[in-house]
Amino acid sequence: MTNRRDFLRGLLAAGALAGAGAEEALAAKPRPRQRSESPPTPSMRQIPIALRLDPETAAGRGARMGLEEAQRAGELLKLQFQEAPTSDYATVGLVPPKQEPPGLFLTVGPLLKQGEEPRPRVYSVSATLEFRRQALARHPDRNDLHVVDWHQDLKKFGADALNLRFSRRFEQPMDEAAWRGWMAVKLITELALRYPDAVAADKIEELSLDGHKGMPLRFDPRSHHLIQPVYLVDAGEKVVEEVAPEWTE
Amino acid sequence: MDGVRSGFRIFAPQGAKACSLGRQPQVTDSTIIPEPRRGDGILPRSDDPPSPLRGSGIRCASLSWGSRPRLHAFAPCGARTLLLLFFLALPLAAAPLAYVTNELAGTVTIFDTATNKVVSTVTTGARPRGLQLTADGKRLYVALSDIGRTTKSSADAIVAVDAATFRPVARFDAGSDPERFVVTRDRLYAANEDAGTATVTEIAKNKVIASLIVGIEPEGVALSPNGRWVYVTAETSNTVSVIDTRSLEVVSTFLVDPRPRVATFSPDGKRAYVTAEIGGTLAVVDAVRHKVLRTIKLPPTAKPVGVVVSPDGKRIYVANGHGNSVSVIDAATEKLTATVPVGKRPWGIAVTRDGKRIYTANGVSNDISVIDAATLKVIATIPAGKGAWGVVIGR
Repeated sequence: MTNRRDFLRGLLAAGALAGAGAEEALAAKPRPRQRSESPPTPSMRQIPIALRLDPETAAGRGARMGLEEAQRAGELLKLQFQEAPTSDYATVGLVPPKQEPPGLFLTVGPLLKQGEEPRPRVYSVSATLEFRRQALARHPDRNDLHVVDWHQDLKKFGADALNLRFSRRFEQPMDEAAWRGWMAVKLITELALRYPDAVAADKIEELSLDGHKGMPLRFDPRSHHLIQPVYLVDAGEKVVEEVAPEWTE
Repeated sequence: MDGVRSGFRIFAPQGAKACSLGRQPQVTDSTIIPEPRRGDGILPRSDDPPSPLRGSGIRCASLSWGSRPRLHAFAPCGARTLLLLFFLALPLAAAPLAYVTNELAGTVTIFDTATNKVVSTVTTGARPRGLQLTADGKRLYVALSDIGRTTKSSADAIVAVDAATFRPVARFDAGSDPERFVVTRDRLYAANEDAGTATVTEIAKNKVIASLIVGIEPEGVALSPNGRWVYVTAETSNTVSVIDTRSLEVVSTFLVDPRPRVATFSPDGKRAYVTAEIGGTLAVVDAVRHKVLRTIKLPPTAKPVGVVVSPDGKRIYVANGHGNSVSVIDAATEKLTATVPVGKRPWGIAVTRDGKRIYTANGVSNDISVIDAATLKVIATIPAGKGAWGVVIGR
C-alpha cells in the first residue's frame, strides 16, 4: 500500500499525474494515516541520492528498500529523499569514479585493495579485507568457512526484523550485498538528518549509527571502511561465529 | 471461580496448596477435566469460526466458546498447547502480584512481591511480549504475536485477562506483530514493528480506529500522565513520534540516538526519557515541546532498553540489556549515580508503587532480579520462563 502511494507520489512529482484525479488516486485505498499526507511543500529540504546499482541485483534491492524507508522517515522529519541520476550530495555504487566524486561516494562492491590509499570522499560499507582475514584466522584448522558482513539467519539486535522486511519486500533473503546496499542508503539518510547543514563527505567519519549488528558502526578514517562485526559461515551456510571488532570510544 | 474447573487440568504440586490467583476462593483439589481440543478456548485459530468477541463489543461477562465456559486460556486457541496452571504457592500477603512475560516460553510468570516467590505460571502460547495493567490493576493486557514471524499471524493480538483470576476477558486486533503498547481507559495504542505503524484500538467496540505511520520498526510506546500524548519510538529510523490522543494524528517526530527502544514519562509529565540501545544513551525530552534537551551517556557496556521512573520522580532506572545491569540516574541532576549488576539481558523493568523495589526481567538468564532501592543491591532472584521479557507490578 505504501509502495503504491510512493509510486504515485513519484509520478506526481514528475508531473505524470498532474491534473484532476491524481489525489483521488492516492486516496483510493485506506492507508495508515499521517499528519503531513500532502505532497512535500517547497520548504521541505530535498536530498538527492544517486543509486548507480542495477535495481534487480541484491545490492540494488537493498538500496531500494533503504530509500523507501528513508522516504517514510523523511516524511515524518520534513526531509525528502529523492533518487536522482547524479548527486552532489551522495552516490551509492559498485565502482567509484576515477576522478574525485563531487559528493560522498559509498561503494557496496569490491573492497579497496590492500595497501591502496583511501581516496577522498570514497568509502566502503564493507569490513576491511584485513579484518575479514583476522576473523578467518581464528579457525586455522577449518577451510570450510567464509566471511560475510551479513547473513539471512541473523536474529539479534533487530536483525530478524530487517531480514524479515527484506524477504517480504523482495521474496528473497537478505545477503551481504543486499545489506550493504541498504546500509549505504541508511548512512546517507542519517547524515542528512543528523547534520542537516553539512556536506555529507565532511561528516561521515563523525557518524555513529546502528546497522542491526549490536554495536555502533563507524568509518575508520585510515581505511575508509565501516568498522563492523562480521560472521563466519560454514559450507552449509550456517553462521558459526560472530567476530566483532573492539569498540573504543 | 466456577469456570476454574472447566476446560483445563490444574496441577497442584505435592505439599503445595492449590489456590486461585490473587485473593479469590481457593480450589481445593486438583481437578482433571478434558483437555482442550482444536478450536477450544476463546482465541480462535485462523480456521476456527469467527470469535463472538470480535467486532461485537467486548463486555464479556461470559466468555464461552461453545456451550460451556472456557477459562484460563489466552493462547491462540485450538493450539494443541496444553494450557496449564501451576499453583505453586498461596499468596497470603497483601502485597501486589507481579507479572512477567516470557517470550520464548510462551508463558506469563506471576509472583508475589511480598515473598518474591512464583505463585503461578500460565501458558499463553504464541509470543507474549508487551504487558500492561489497567490503572485500577484489575485487568492485564498482553501482546501476543507469532514467534516465527514469517507473515502476519492469527496469533497477533492483544488479549485482556482478569489480573486476579486470569479469566480471559477479550481479544483485540492491534495490527500486525504488536509488541509494546499502552492501555488507557478506552483505548489501546500498540506499536507494530514490522508494519511501521501504531495501531489505535477502541476497547469498548473492539475496533481499530486508526493506524498511524510512526517510523521504521516501531517499538516503545508511552502515555503521558495527562493522557494527551503517546510517544512511539522507532528503532531503525531512530525517531520518536508524538501522537495527539485527541486528534489521533502524529503531530511531531524527533530524532534520538541510534536504536531507540523504550520511552517513559516523569510523573509530573514534564519530561520523557528514551533509551537508545546502540547509542548507549538516555535522551531527556521536554515532554511539553517534544524536543530532546540532553542525552545522558550510560556506562560503555550498556545496551539500554527498559526505563522506569520512581514514583516520586527522583530517580530514573535504566535496564541495560546486554550490559547485564541497571543504571540509576538522579532525575534532578541527570547524573548517573550507580550501576547495579543484575541477571543477563534485563529488558523489562518495573518499580513498586512505594518505590522500594525494582524488578528486572532478564531474558538470557531467564529470571527476575529484585533490587532494593535503598541499598541498590540485588536482594533476590526469582526464576522466570525462557526469554523473560517484560514485567509489571499489580495494584
